[in-house]
Amino acid sequence: MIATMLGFAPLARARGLSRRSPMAAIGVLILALFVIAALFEPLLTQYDPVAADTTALMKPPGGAHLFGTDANGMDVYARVLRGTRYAFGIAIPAVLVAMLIGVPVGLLTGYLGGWTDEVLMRGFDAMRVFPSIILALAVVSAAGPSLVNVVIVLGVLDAPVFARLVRSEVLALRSGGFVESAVAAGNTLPRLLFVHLMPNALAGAMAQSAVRAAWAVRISTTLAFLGLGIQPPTPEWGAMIRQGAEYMVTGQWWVGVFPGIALILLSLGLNLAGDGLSELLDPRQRKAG
Amino acid sequence: MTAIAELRGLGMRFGPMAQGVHALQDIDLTVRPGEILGLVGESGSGKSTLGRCLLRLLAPTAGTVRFEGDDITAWPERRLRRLRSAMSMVFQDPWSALNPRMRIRALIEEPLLLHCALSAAERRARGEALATAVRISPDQLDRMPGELSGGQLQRVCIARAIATNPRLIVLDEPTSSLDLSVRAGILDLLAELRASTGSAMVFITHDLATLRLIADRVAVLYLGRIIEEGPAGRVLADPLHPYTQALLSAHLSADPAERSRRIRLQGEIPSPINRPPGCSFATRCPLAEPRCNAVQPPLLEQEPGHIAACLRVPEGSNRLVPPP
Repeated sequence: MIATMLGFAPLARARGLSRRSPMAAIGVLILALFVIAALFEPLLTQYDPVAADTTALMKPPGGAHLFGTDANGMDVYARVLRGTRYAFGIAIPAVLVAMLIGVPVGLLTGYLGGWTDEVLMRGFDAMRVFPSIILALAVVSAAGPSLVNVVIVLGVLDAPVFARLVRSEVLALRSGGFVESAVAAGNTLPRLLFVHLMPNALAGAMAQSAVRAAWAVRISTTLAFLGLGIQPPTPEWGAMIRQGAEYMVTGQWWVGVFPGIALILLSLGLNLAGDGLSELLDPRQRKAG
Repeated sequence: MTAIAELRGLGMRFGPMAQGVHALQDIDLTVRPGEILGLVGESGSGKSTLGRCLLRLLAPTAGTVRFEGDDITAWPERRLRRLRSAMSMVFQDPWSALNPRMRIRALIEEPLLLHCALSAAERRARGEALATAVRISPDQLDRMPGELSGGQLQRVCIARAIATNPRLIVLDEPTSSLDLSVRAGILDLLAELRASTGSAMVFITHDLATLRLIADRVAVLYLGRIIEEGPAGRVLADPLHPYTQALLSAHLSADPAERSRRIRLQGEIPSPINRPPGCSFATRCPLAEPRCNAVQPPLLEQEPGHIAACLRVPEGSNRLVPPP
């Protein structure tokens, strides 16, 4: 029984996933490769991603440098690998911050309704009127381009998405059923929200988390590309693409293209896995047959 | 004798003022300590709404709700919470009345956790004693609600309802969603609990056979009004209101030898949105006279403790089937 739980269940589930949704399985595979890259980066390359080597400036891909080197003589392959850590390091905390704000707001507005709902949700609507990239640009340029600032800004900007998802689940749950029986038993409001409603209202939010992480990666690299996020020579993909863009016209494409491909692949992986996750977690979206 | 719960002039209206639905109107009802009060009526008659108003799970739009003398009509939920250990409810659908993500043990212990200052070990012991009382076996305590049957889930709901020794339990059709064979077990259990706990129970049902078994008093609801109320023996044996008579005649006896003399009602139930001025049963009543459509019949005491709202009772012409 324990063996089944530890060893075979994930395998069986992976087989089930690939059968039910091959695209989601591809997404999970891509994600797994990036996770390996982030965790075992020092084992996958002999180069230090921030060590300048003046003897090997702008080397094309091949030979000792798989993806070539950039204007500082830094190995692009090592830098792309290290960039994975920044991508995950921003996306995961940003999604957590978004859930930390969005989930309680969604629970409260969904359950209480009335004025609480109007004020909080209209506030969030007002936030969503602006394109998120513009807001992110404005706030990061005001607060200063640090990793922590980027994470907080992305988290706050994405909170309305989670609030809405949780709110709609709570709306469906609050009338009657176990919520009423929990009120009749004398539950306090916080216990009602976090013990009774939250575990039952989180499926939609969990399913969306991977897709939102893809969004966070995209926005954070865009900020870095525009020079507002993490600054070079830190091996962040957005910053690397910005660097590489300058050399594109002179034919030294490898500095910008490789981090660009990495960004597209991670985005794709997160989106595919996210769609698969929503199908698995949300029975309403599950296709018949 | 002080009442456990008392409703006076209770009204409940859903929706906007102009076109709202009148779920309850002018309800006067008293629940006495330790009694089982049966509440009957067809779907949409307001039985469940009345039960929820008694426990203040709903705030009525008119009248007062008293619990042990306190007027709790306008109490906020924060203040009601302390009363929740003295009143409880068993819901109609046991599948949806329990949080699907909590273990049975946690569900049964929850009222104790909320209202009683007990150590974890004491709570666990009390929870197990409650489970035994409702015949839930110890190995079921660590299961999730989805793994139990409807009858077992309803037992869990009953264990929750009696956990804090409440003085009032409202049971909203607790057996109507269960199989007949399971139903008998639940009714036995309730009768047993009533003897051991002494809680007053309000038993909401549309099943008259159930009431015959356990109710002390019966109140009949029709379209949001009480039309007859009295001792269970009297109301069920000799119903005064034509509607109660028709309702009783619709009940099939378990004895195949007994010939049923079923009274078939013609006509439509009036809309609760646009209620007729007179007796709301007049549209279907075989005995209706023109005045029934004009005057709202008052609830009058027709014999000691037995009240009915029918204009034709005083003249003795209220029988759908003449007594043999």
